[in-house]
Amino acid sequence: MKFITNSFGGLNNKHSTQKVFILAICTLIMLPFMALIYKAIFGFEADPTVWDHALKNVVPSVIYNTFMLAVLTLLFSLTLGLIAAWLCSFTNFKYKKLLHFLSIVPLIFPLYVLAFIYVGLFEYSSGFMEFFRESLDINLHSYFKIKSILGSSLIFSFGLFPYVYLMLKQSFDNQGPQLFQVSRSLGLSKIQTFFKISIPMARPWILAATTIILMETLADFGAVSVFNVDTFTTAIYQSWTGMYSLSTATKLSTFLIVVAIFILLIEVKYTEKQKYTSKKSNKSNNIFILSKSQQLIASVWLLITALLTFIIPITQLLLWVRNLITIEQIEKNIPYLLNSIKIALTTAIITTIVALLVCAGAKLINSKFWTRVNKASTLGYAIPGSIIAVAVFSLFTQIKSILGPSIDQNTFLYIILIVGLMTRFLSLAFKSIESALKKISNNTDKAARSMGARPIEILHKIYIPIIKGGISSAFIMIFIEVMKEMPMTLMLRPFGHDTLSVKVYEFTSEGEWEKASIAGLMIVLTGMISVALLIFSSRQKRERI
Amino acid sequence: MKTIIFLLLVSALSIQASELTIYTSRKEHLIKPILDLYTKETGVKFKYTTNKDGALIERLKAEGSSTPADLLFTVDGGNLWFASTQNLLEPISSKTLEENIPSNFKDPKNQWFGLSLRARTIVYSTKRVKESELSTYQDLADKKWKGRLCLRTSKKVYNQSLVAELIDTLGKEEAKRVVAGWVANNVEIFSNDTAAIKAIIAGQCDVTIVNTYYFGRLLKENKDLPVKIFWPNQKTKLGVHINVSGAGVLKYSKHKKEATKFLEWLSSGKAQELFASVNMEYPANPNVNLDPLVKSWGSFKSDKEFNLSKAGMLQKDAIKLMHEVHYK
Repeated sequence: MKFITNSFGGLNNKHSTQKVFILAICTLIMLPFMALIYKAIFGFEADPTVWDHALKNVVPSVIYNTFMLAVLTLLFSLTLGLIAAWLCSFTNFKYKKLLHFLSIVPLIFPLYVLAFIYVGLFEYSSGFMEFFRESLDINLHSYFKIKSILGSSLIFSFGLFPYVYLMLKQSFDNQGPQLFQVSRSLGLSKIQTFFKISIPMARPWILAATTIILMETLADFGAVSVFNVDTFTTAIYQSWTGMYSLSTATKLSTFLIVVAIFILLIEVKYTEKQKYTSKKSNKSNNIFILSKSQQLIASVWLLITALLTFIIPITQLLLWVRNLITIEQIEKNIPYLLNSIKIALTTAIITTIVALLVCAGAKLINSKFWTRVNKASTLGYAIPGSIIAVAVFSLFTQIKSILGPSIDQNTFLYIILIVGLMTRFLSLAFKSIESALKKISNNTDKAARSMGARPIEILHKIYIPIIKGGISSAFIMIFIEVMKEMPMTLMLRPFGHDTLSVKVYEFTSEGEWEKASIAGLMIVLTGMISVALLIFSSRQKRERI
Repeated sequence: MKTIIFLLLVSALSIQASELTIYTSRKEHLIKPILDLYTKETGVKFKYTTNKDGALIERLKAEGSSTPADLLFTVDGGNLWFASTQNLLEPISSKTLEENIPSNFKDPKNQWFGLSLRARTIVYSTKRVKESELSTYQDLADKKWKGRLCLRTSKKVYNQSLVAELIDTLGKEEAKRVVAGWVANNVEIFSNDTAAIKAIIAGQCDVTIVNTYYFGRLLKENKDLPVKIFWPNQKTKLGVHINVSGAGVLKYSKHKKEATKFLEWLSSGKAQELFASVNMEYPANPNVNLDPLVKSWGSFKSDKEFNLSKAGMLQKDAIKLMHEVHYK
């Protein structure tokens, strides 16, 4: 608590505490990457031919693949998310609450789990394909190849569209029916209002969702390996572990980092000027009244989405589990579950607090420059977990060796694992909290300060109560993400801290999907409980997420 | 009095070394039974962390002399070779290890030792392929296999070390011609061997190249698989390509003696049998009994002059070659 007070104390010196805090977090996150880039440029290169080879034979194709994968995934996710958010925010149809839940819940699936489920389903040798061949005489495999850029981007969007849905729904719900009443009085039809006002007003949220999807796609390693699609991450990994050139790997990572900075700059440029405030309404938002048949179409569409993104994958997991599950097997996995929860909770608490402090700090400082500096701390989201792991590990081990053996190895690993995970996921907490803070007018700050409120009081009495929803969704999203995270946990986990995702890795890398399914299912169930809590808690507060 | 002091000293030493720390890319379920057996026999306990080889080696490099690890276990010779070039492993002079492990399955400078062998061989459909059609790895580049060959991804180290051996034996040009031929005949690339074998069973393709234990695992589920093992290149110098799962004692280990003892134990008798049989692999020690199922696949010849450190050395070239011919 003292820490927080310090961070927000002292207004008279023009927010210097906030600035120092933002800089400290930025340094903590940027330093490992800087060290890595330094190594890439000035480090020892055992064999320069590897880089030449990669430039000629690998880079062109991975640029194309990565670009196509990102663009298509974005396209599919925006389509699925936008339609679902529009339906659930503005229209009336049956089973809305259930379908709302089903539109969020696919985010509990790690992308690599969705990947192996769908590859398993659409592989020529699967029972599903055999059924089509034998009973219907259709060789589906010749029409649709799951192991392609198109196939993988579709599956990616199944796992990622909930982010678009959540962001857009939050935005639409905040617009309220008054907006439509006013615009109608000005002669715009409802549909015109939606496209000319609702969508542009949702722009910060759309951009935030876009960034999330692009970054997730750029950083993924597990799923693209299952699809055997070569992207930047697989190229990084291969030059590192196959060709033993960490230098080439870091050069390739540098490229990824540059792309990530570029995406962030675009996001900042288009969102920083916008200050949207709106009143929340308790009235229902059913602006577009659907006819019976339209309602049916709406429900069916969302049901098909849910079928593809949630029901089929979970059924497959359950079918795999069914063959193996025993009390003994469950008991065996309980320690891994507890480790996962412990790491996820710690990371979620710390990351949410950090994000809250830096975002609120930046809002109080209220300058373009500091917003941008602040944004730099979210860079880690676009960088593959294994690269962050190496960067963080190398740097902090050096620092540790200077400090001497005062910290024991397991504590050390635990600390850097949390730092690494925070680096990776700060962006997500940032998105929720920052977009929630946008709702608070700067006049509120000014009014509060003119009445002599200190920053800590503004945070405590004004910000936190207003953005509670944003904070809890940040917390839960990070919790879920850390439960799913694999490469970093794999590298940095302390001894005896195997998690569920580590177990999934151990079995799937041997091609044993079935054995991986118990741990996989546990991740998914924990995620489902989290999502249910998220929805429940926002209902309690009469606030929609 | 002397004996008491001696005993105290011994017990003090053994307390100090009663725990070994292992970094391993061999998965927990394939290593734990062996560690448990050793703990039962000697009281020595283990701490271990599993991960991919690259990450473990990078971690060891970063930790330097402060590493808590005593041994590195990997699932292929290439990574052991790489670890040895990074100055991470300690040369071990041990008569037991020298006697138990054939020279081509260990480091020429004794920095690491293979513990179990992984034969990468041809598997074919008994329904659509006659055994007489098969002969060598090179032959799979022949046009008669067009549309009939399935392969695992070139990103897997087992394929990289196979191509490395081809480069070493056949020369770069010929190896490139062979791999390009595979790609030209290829139906589909799989991310693991099991999926490739299942593709044969389903009729998607007729032949593939896999490590035998993947075949063994499927065979355990269903005895009547329409798929069989073929040992290629038996009449040529090359023979079947073998990789090893092996280990080395780390240079900065604080318990080198204990670690060496453990390696020696692993190279002999019951431990060898168990180490290989948990995953239906071949024991590296030729005097140890085979798992009955593994034995039923018959014997084969491999190139005894090909040391696995060469596969590590040539791995980079193998990957470059596979990129050049667009083997994904």
